[in-house]
Amino acid sequence: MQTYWLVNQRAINILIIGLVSVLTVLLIVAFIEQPVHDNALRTLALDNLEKTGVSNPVTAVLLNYRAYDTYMEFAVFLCVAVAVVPYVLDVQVSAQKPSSESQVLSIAKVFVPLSIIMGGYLLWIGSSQPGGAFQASSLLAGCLVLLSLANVKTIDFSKVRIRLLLSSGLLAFVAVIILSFFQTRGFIILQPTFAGALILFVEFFATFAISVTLFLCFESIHKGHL
Amino acid sequence: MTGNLWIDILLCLCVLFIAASIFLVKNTFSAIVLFISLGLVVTFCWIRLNAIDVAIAEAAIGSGLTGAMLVAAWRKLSSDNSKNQHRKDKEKSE
Repeated sequence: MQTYWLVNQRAINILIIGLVSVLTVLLIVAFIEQPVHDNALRTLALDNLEKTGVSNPVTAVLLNYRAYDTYMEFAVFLCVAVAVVPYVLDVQVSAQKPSSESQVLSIAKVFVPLSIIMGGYLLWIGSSQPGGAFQASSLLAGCLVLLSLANVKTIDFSKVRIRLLLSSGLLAFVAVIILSFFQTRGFIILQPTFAGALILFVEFFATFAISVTLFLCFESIHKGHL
Repeated sequence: MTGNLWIDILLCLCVLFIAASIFLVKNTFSAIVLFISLGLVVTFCWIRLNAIDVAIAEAAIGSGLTGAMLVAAWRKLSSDNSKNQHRKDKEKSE
């Protein structure tokens, strides 16, 4: 009985190894068989760059050409925030006092103002050079994490205004979609003259929404109850 | 050109080595540290691919914030484990 079980186990192991090997070979073959990527879309995107209102191709793709995907992404961020908020709701915000001797606090004192300035710069530079809402928001979220580690009272997620901030990215995007519908009669088609301002408007609110969402995810593990 | 190629090969080997060792180490904390360093090496790969936007996001979110979350989760898990151990010891002594 015992030996039979061992043989069976070995057969299963060999079967698994064989299947994984076949899958790997198939994946490699599929990768090699891929047709060479033609850059027709790339030239099309780069040729129409001045109509998008921004000069950074990445931002143009994210917030103008493929704005619908980004819109969905903000909705996903809001769903994540809604799912995580219950874990931190009944955590006492000001229960622990920051000790003035804390090393994390002295690091935070130096780095938080620096990263806020860097975040603002990244958000602003996103229209012409690498940067944008996601990068700026991750920097701001890093600030909040640092403050939370130093036991500084940061954000009380039971407040309505914080929840508005969480959803502000999506709300701003919806507002822009409705406004641009009245102007161009199309779904997320931005008029070239206002596109730059509208993209900056969306990115501004998205920065705060995403940074608070990321911080919320950290806080739910760090201080939330299981 | 050949120098750049060698840098790319080195980066690929680093990524493979660190990714494999994440699975092979027994200690959870070592795995977390290796995950954070994997994020940093992948950041270099994105820079080599001229994708600075993705590199910034990878360094900040993939390495920094995820690393902080993993360390926080590890701390919570290990404190729970020690509590359980404490309770078991008490039960044994009783």
